[in-house]
Amino acid sequence: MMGAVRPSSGGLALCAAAAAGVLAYAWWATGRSPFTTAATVAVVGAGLVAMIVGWTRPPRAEAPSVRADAKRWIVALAALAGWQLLAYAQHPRSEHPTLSSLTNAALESHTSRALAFTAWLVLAARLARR
Amino acid sequence: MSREITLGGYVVLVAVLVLQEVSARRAMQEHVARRQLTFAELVAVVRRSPLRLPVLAGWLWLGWHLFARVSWR
Repeated sequence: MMGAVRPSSGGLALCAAAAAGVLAYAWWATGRSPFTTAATVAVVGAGLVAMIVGWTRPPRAEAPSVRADAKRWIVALAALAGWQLLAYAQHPRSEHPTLSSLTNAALESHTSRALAFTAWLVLAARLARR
Repeated sequence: MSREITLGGYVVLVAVLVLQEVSARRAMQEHVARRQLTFAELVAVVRRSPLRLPVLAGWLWLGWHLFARVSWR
């Protein structure tokens, strides 16, 4: 039986340093003044770098094929998008909140914004992985 | 449509998505012959499809919208 591969202490230190670096960057990037070029470059640039990092990682093993379909997901996600559009088309926003206006309220503190930005970067890398 | 109705609609739709995931995972564990995809399988399918690039572009737009285009108080 093969033993589990254990990361070396050097590998762990590298991972910890990378995680700390990403968190520090997220804190800095989410502190930029909104609606500025600096904020756009800090966010979109980091997202592109995360996607490139994900893209250049070795491809995942091919998932086993399953006899399953996505119809219910498509219907439910389309319904959510439709509901959001219906709210977006109406005013005032306080009476007709959109998903992003609700999210904005949750992201008011710098800490929650930095953590959410970090999660967004991680998911960007995962989405881009082949 | 009032705020309560709007919020209620979101809660119902998110609950439907969560229940669907739970149901798909249960069917997967029970090896049901025909079942719905789990959310992770759905994402994997999209990643290998022509929708991949539009989804990545949409993800970039979402980050820009949430983190660079909002006035923080």
